[in-house]
Amino acid sequence: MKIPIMLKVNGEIYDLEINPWKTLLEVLREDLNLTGTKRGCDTGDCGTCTVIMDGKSILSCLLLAMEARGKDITTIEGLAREGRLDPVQETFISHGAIQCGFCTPGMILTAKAFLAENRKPTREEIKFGISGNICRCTGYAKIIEAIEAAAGVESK
Amino acid sequence: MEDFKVIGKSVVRLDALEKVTGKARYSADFRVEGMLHASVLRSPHASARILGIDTSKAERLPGVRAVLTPDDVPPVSISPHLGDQYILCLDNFVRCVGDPVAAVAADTVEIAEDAVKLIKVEYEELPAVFDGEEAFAKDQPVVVHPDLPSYKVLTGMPIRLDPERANVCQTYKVRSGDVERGFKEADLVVENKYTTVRMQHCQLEPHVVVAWFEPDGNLTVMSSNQMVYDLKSVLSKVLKLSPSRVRVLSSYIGGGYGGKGGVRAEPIAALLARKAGKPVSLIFTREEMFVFGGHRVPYSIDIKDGVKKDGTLTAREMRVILAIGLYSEKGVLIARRAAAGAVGTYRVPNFKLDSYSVYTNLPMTGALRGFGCPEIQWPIEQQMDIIAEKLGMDPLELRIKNILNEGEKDASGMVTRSIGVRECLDKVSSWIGWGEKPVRPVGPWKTGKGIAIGNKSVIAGSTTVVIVKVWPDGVIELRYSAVELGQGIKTTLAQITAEQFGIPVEQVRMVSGDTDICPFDFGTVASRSLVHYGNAIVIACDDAKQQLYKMAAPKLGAWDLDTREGRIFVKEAPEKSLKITELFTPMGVPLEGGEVLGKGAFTGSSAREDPETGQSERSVFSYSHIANAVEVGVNTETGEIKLLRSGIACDVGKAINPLIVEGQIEGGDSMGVGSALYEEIVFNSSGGVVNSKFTDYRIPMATDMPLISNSKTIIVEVAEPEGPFGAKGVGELSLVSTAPAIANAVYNAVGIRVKDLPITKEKVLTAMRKSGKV
Repeated sequence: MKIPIMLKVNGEIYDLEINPWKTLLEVLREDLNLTGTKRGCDTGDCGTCTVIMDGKSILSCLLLAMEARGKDITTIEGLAREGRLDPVQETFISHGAIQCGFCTPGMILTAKAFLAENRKPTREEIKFGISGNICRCTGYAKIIEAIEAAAGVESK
Repeated sequence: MEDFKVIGKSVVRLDALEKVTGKARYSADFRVEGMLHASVLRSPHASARILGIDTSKAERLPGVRAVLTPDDVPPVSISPHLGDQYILCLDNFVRCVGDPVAAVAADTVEIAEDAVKLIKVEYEELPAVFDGEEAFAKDQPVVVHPDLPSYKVLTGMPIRLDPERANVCQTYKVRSGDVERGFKEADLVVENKYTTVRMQHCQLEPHVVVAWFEPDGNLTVMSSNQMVYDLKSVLSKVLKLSPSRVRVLSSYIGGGYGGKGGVRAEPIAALLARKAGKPVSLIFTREEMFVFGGHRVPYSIDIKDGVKKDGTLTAREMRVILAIGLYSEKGVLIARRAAAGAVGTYRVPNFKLDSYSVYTNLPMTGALRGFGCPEIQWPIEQQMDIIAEKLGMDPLELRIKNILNEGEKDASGMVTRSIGVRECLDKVSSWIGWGEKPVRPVGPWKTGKGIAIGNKSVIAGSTTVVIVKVWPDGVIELRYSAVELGQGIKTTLAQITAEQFGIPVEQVRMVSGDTDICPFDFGTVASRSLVHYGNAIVIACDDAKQQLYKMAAPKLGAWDLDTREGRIFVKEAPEKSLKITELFTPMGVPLEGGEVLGKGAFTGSSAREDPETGQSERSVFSYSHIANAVEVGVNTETGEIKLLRSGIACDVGKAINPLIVEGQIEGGDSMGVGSALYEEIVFNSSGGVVNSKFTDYRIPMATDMPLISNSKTIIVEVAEPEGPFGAKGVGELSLVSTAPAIANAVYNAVGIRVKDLPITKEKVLTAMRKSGKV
């Protein structure tokens, strides 16, 4: 039985009818075709499905879409505003923090939510801030440098 | 040194913008109209005969569109070298927990998973063998493939069985000098046994495939595969379709590390699509990735070294057992490649190696970043430290003394060239402050330093083809079949193409991911892409340029021409020039030939080895070299190991894009840290994988790596004469010596030598307690 639901994603309102057991990840990918949000494990262990909900980073594979009603959701597709990249996106590019790119959306959104609460983090704090996100390609060094650089930009 | 415009510059990755905005598409992001979803039934037993399969309940479940059983599967092997693997279990026997038995395609993945549970299989359980050495023994308890001697050999690669050992499906020998004489000449003989374990690649993107048949009966497959042409060939074989009727599409790949360099889910999806008459998507679950997504081959290595008092190696003898699991896949090739790792760094006048690929009743193994080389450096680089200590020598000095010189023949008969390992070693040891005391330990922590070196080779005798098309506006299009799995190949190849025409990378159009329009390539594996593509691109660009020059020559009145920035000019009078556009009609057609298409094909040199001695002038295409220097802290109360400082230097020949090369080095090194400290697929007593989740199978997180200020990435460039611009490959090199460097540092800190990977805190603590060191 499908249930009507209203979701606010990237500033847009979507009226949907969904199966109530669907996760936010599934609704984003399958119903809204926002495939930038990735599925890496489906058990909340890898961080690739991270989105921002009301300013906090959350794992969309562990949240039923029904629970996202009335919340403000940002996915990777909604981070750039009016064609301008977010500073975190910019520094991920300039610091070589991207390889296969599969962790990148979740990593960027985690960093974005982390920086909103930690304006001038130390490198050690950044490491802990992203310790729920697996990256198998980079060894994290360039990701940490990118986030540090973005913090410099944002705090200006 | 040639002055390059684009090569050697860290230009921004061409895939970066797509990847930070979520627009980059991976195979699972594509939906094909009417697509069904598949799930696979896997064996719960490590060894059993299938007595019967009842699919009636599954077939009656609403939404189920096709069920596949071993009866539907053609008797054709999907294993590349040896005919030992069918799409679903071979000849109605299952040979490991996870061996595929049946599959379902349904309207949703949930229905497919439910249907799989409704399939009733009657098994007669049989004894199994899990341990590689038990399986290797002459009186092995179980023969995994009793029909092995009658299996077909499918490629030109020689398969040599061992008549006395029924589970051995490949043997490989290297013989050089006389080891017995070498040991007699030695003042010291050091003999030890080392083991490595199964790892999983942990690509964040699992194995993904969508397969469908076109109205004309041709097959199209979209897959996350690293070897698109290999996949095309296997699918054409098992589905009995001419290769011209199989099309493989590929998109961005979310990590490969070798694990997607073989046939995985594709044939099941294709057969289901044929049976259901609809497109079928099959995505491995994370658990399936851990169980049957491929593992690194576990090694057990007996090594005996002879050395003179002054540190000169006189002999080395190795017996290597590779417990490859139930199918041969790449395991029979790794037995050969492991030898290259063993001979490519040190001068060993008397050398003997025997490697054996052995079947067991555990899941499939295959390539995992390094293809046998990291596993071989694990014993060698610890032996060097043990020898150094026994001789009272500095381990750094001992290594330097025995490193091969330029021009010297190595133990497999290949002449050493472009060996930058000394420079790597000098740079990392100087960075770590070799010879100085490690950082002062605090509380229960003790600290120590370790070094290790190694090599990774590029496969010999493989082929890559590219096509270059010149557009009227001077844009150069490259058609190629390498897949972008994070290594930056798209950007790197665009740089090489741009350099040939003297244009910026923005003027290069990269076309890939479709075997209907992109030419043959052996595969995006074995650190081979850059050297093969680089050479092929230079040839193809020259071909295209000659076509342009032929049209331009009459207009410029000269034959000795060159091109830069969209113009063709006379070499000796550059002011005499024309725009490439002027060689096309207003309709965009070249003045001659209809299209300017350049073709470039490159096959790396090779020479077949002597079967009895492994001697060959060219058993590999090229060697890249590496040195690691690390400093660790070991907690004497808990055994915990912390990587405090880490320096890594890689001799890559030429860094086409230094930022990308650094990324490859740092990423490989972190995988090396995982292999050293945490990673091991653990089995229960019935052969089932215990740790099939990221929470149970630990891989390095950001918090496990040293601070950036405490790590150093160094690029060394000793040019390879046959590599494009001197380049020689880096992707796998970067993890080959991380683990032994850490092991040596742990020993330096607490005097505990761990010879079995991984170096867990339990092993260290137990050993410390046993030895009374705490």
